[in-house]
Amino acid sequence: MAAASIDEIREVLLARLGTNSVSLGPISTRVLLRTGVSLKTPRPDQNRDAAAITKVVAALADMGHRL
Amino acid sequence: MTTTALSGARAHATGGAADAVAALTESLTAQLGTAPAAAVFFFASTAYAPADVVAPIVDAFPGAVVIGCSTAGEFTDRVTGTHGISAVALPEGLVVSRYAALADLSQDVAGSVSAAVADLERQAGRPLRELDSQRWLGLTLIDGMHGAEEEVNEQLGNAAPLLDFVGGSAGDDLGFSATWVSVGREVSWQGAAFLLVESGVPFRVVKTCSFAPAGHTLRVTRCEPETRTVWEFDGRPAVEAYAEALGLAADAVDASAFLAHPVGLMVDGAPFIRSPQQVVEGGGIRFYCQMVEGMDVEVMNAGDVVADTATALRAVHDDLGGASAAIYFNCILRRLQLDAAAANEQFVEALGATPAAGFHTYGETWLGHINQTLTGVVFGPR
Repeated sequence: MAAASIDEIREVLLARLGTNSVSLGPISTRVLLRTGVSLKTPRPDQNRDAAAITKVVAALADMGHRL
Repeated sequence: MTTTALSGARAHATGGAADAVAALTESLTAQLGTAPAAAVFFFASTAYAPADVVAPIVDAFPGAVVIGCSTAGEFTDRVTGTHGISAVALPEGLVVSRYAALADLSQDVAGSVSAAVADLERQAGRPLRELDSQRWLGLTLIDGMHGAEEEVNEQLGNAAPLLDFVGGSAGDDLGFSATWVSVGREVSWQGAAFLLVESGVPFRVVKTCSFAPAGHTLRVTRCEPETRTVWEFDGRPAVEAYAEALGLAADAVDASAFLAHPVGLMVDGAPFIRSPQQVVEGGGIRFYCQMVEGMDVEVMNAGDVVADTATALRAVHDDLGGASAAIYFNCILRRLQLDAAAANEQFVEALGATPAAGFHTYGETWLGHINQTLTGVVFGPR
């Protein structure tokens, strides 16, 4: 998928995690440590930034969550 | 049916290697009683050659998985010191399953950690990402001298993003020369030891530090993650921006400012601390942790290490309804703060009465690499 925002990535990920949505916490922390981008509460300047989106999508893919 | 209460055992010893190991293992064995040890963690000063301590400790606990490392000080819930050995043993029952692997980080860090993960998965009989993170836990001891902690943690996170890996970086008594880790009888001077545990009791990961945001956010605008160097905050030389946030002149930034005012990456209101190490030529600051461009960090103010540690561990104890054992990884910078305040005994008291051991580290692990923090795991009662 081609995400338009970090918010959109989070919603897709949450839908995939389903009842295991508590898992967003450690995943989001790992993404933040690697990319500087918060998946849970993205900064306005990062939410629709193409570079930030690319970095987050890549980090999630590395963790086995291909969107 | 009656249920036997199970507790971990801890010990600390000093003196010559043979006598220290004998005292350590005899104490652990006596505390465990009839319960065989399932997993043993030991933390030894570089005053001891690994050849003199690793094999004798392993031999004292047949059937147990034993991992260890060198330190920058050792402690238990009863005593703290340097140039000794501390250890904690977890009995069968407290630990249901345990598997260990050693990674050689001297060449290909990612490849070596992946191979160690594959080894753990082979032993466990399934992928790490399929393990229930409420029952399974990873413990890590990582070389503290070659700056590979971030890559090690990334590989672990890629393999099992939901599994807690908690641990610390090995030390060498502030020599900053070489550290070692061990798995069984194998010793590596540039490695990482991994222990995968299936707990028989509820457990909680601990991460506590004693810092509060000072009210100044800095954005990393130019950096070199591989050397953990930040060249610019907010488009300005990093040391200038950092100094201004503290109300200091750039040339007044010194080790005491760094110790009291690290920066924190805020996660759900809690900081993941990145500690400054030194000012580097060109206006940059080298840290003990990587940062990346675009990352916002808060300048932090130091608090009360002892009080905050006690509060955090009491909360975990209360949450679990008691505790049967704990393993702690405490940053060397926190030890230096405790040394300066002559508060080492109070720190031990803050750990409570739970059988526990730990060491002063060159970095802490939980989900990633952290500084100036105490990480650990507390096992609940059975």
